[in-house]
Amino acid sequence: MAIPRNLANIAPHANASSTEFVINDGSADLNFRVESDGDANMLFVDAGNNRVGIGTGSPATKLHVENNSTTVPVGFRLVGGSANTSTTGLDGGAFIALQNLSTTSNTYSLIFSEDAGGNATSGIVFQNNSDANNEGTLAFLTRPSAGSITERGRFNSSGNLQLVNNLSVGNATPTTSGAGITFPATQSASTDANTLDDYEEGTWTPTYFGSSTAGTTTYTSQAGNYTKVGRLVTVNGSIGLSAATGTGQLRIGGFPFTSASITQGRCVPMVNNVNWTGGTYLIIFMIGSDTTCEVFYSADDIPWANQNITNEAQDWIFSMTYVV
Amino acid sequence: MAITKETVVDQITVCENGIVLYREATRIIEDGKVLTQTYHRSSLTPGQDLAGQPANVAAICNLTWTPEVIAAYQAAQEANRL
Repeated sequence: MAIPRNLANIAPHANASSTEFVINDGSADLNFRVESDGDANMLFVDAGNNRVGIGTGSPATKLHVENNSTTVPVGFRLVGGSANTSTTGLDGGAFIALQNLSTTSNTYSLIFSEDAGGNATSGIVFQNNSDANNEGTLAFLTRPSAGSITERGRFNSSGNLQLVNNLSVGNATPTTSGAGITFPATQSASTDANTLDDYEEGTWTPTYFGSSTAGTTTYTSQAGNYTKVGRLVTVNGSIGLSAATGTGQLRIGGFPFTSASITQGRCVPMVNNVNWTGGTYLIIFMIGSDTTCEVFYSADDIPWANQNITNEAQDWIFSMTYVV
Repeated sequence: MAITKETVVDQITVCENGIVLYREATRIIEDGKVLTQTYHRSSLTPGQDLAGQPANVAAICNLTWTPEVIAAYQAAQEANRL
């Protein structure tokens, strides 16, 4: 058994009147090391650098815990039994407190994940905004491939969440362009009246046909776009045609989403060259539970009635919002 | 670095009354990763002419649109009109 070389620093205090057991009481630059079965540096005190190592003989910080095993994780467990239910006090069952004694504003405490090379790959930054006002911010950092670790978002001191890039919900893949909220490509509908559960924009192709026989419509142009926000769909559409062989009442169809069961979407279209069945203006109405609209004509003191399909060159432009 | 463009029917919805909604996604893809994606939506009502529609969509329509479904849709459309 080896005799501790710093025994002389222990001996003066190893008596019955001492209230403490001091190793290296003389503050010599003399390291202290405890071995275990399998670890030569189970506990290592680096006297020259004032550091403690557990599992390492070269601690890099005040306390450095290291385990190079590829199968056994390194960690520390804090076990407490406090029944305190406060989430704001530092007296929970177990806690970790990071205190920065600097009174300078906007100083930090950090928790980082590092790769094998010691490069930080993600982290949490605890910012002391103001020591005088006890104000703080919580920030989150990640590192892109071959890039630098970068702040991605933060809770500011007022409790507001600020994201640098995009927010996705429903496990959607966040967009890589611009900044915004990404919803799932396929809506995950919510029945909650206060929940926004969908956003989508795209194009659609309006069609022109008859109610009795659809017929064949010769289009010169068909174009449309839509924006869906929750249950609300706003469409823009335009149709140009040179002939239409359908019969019966005029229908405009192809709308991108089925309407709710009530008749609700309506608009006054801009038309060109149409031989109206009557009245002085036309109105487009969305049919309930459908993707088709009917068209009415009306005028002052004249009951509205259905506009029939007409076989002639004409143009329609309209914009409508309806509920799905 | 290969950039490709594809258009696929990425969503087909058959509504309770037989209306078939489908969405075509046009994607710009670089090395397997979608860079941008735009949508075009279409709707087909029971009994509608299916000429020019995507084969998989038309197949679903033909399965769904039984004479009973078509008749029920037409009756409902009349009932749901203004």
